[in-house]
Amino acid sequence: STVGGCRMIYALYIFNRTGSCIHFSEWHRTRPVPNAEQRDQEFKLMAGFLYSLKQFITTLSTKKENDSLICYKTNKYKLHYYETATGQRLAITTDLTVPDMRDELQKLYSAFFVEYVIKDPLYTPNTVISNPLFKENLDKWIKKLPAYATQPPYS
Amino acid sequence: QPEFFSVRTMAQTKTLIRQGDRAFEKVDKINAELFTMSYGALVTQLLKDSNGDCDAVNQQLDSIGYKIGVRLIDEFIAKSSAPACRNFTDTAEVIAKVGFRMFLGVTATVQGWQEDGRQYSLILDENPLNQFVELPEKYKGLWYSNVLVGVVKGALEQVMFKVDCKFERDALRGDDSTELKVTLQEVLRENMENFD
Repeated sequence: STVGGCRMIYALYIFNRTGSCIHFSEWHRTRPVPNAEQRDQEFKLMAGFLYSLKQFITTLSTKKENDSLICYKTNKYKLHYYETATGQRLAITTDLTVPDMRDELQKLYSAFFVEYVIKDPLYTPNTVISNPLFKENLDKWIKKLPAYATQPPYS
Repeated sequence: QPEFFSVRTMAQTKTLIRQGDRAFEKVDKINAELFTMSYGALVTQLLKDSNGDCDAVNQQLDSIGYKIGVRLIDEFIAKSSAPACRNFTDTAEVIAKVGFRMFLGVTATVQGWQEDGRQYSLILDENPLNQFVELPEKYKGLWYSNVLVGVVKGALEQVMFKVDCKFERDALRGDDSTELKVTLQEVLRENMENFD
């Protein structure tokens, strides 16, 4: 594990079934902030990548049932994935010390996404989420998670 | 019952009933009469606005239900621990025992399976929407609870089953029971347009 590293949540992406990014939050960004176009590229790339990864997993699957992506790990970060039967796709990137976030993603979906977005009468399904309540409450909750450290890592 | 239906055994149905009860406990509830009266007021207003055109109101209830259904399915998935439906035949008991129970407080029975498994009927012995309701003769063409039709269509579409749903019988019209017929039109494939 990294020297001086601590638990950290980096970013959250939410994609709808057709692959559009309907929400993005980030914390502790150390890379330079991209402009809108680069952002869009990043989202497209992420959506396409996750989709391809899922297809790939199913192709290589040793069992007949549909396998699902849980997370992947690089030497720098971990990406946790949660997809619902309705095609909502949540991906959260964290540092390597964070254990499985499946429960948290499930909670995120039911306590925040369903309550503040799906149940919002002003929200059109599959569009970008603009509800400030969702963002605020999500942000507050993320910051309280044990996986979220208050100090940025020493790099 | 056709052969494939034996996949759902009595034990599995009992599990679904339990899940339905648990889900029912978890959701926020409102006063049943308030619910019934509000729905009645909605239908009455729609009838007034359309000058008693039952077909138009049926249509409107259907589309209101559809808009509810596309959102309701997410809450259903989040709050009930019902397993994902791997095929269309699974949806029947899940809707009847968990879905209806969770949102209407009552369960339905599944009957009338078509041989190819692409059609089934949901029978409602009790329908909270039509408590205290009497349908006058001039509105005999109205499917009073048609919102349910839209909800089923909208919800199933979000999990990739495009279905047709309609009332076959309604106790409110004097039939001996209330029956919703659900027919699979197609299994949708993921739209890959944004993944290029």
